[in-house]
Amino acid sequence: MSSYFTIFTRLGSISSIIGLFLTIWILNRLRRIHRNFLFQARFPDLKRKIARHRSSLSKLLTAYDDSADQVEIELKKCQSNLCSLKPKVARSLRGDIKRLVIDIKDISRSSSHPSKEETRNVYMSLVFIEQELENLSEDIKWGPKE
Amino acid sequence: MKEQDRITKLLAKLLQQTQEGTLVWEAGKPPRDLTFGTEDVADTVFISEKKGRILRLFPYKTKFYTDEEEYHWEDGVALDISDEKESSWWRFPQNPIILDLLEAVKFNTVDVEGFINGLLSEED
Repeated sequence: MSSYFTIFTRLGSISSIIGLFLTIWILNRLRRIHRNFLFQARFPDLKRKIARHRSSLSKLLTAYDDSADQVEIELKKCQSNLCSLKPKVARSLRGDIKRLVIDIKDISRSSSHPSKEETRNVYMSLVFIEQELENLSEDIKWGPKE
Repeated sequence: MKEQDRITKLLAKLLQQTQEGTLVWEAGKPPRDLTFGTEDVADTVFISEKKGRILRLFPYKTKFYTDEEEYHWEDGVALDISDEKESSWWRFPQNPIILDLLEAVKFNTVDVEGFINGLLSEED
């Protein structure tokens, strides 16, 4: 009788350990689904914001000599929107956004106006982020993945 | 490097050269292949030459059907490579840089900078 009881107790312990792992797995999946849902819901707005910064930087680059002050302001606005965007996207894209935010901070820290080269590098990073956002949105339609 | 990234780098190069004025575009009327046998509407085409190839950049409007008879017009911008007989050989895939390229081409072709400076100096 006591051996049956021991087996039953062990089975119970193993089941609760498996249950714990299952709960962690389900919580993780729920977190991903929540983030994907949030991303899909906010995607048009996020993409519009990034596209607006990209387009503004391009226009400022076309007439760069007269717009160095505006470049600085545009980069600041862009930095704040990127910080807001970062937690809403998949891990693969978060690294790129983080790097770009650091680059913009470095540019802002220097005493002189952002150079044409620096502005163009930020512009290119925004283009790649915009494309990745588009790709990510397409991927999510066919199933969530990180 | 991914094909998409290579195209993006190429477009960025064209944009930079246009912004710096080393790649010059000319405005013209759309050729027959952009107006005949298509529902898309293109009014102006900007043409440039690069490595013996003709680049055509043009804004267009296209019908987006929501039902059999219902549609609305959507704006688009396309960049393609064509031959001297004005037949399109290859169209670049959609890329956000193409939109910026059009803005830069318009700015330089119309010489907005010169126009603004001219008007300002007139006032002085």
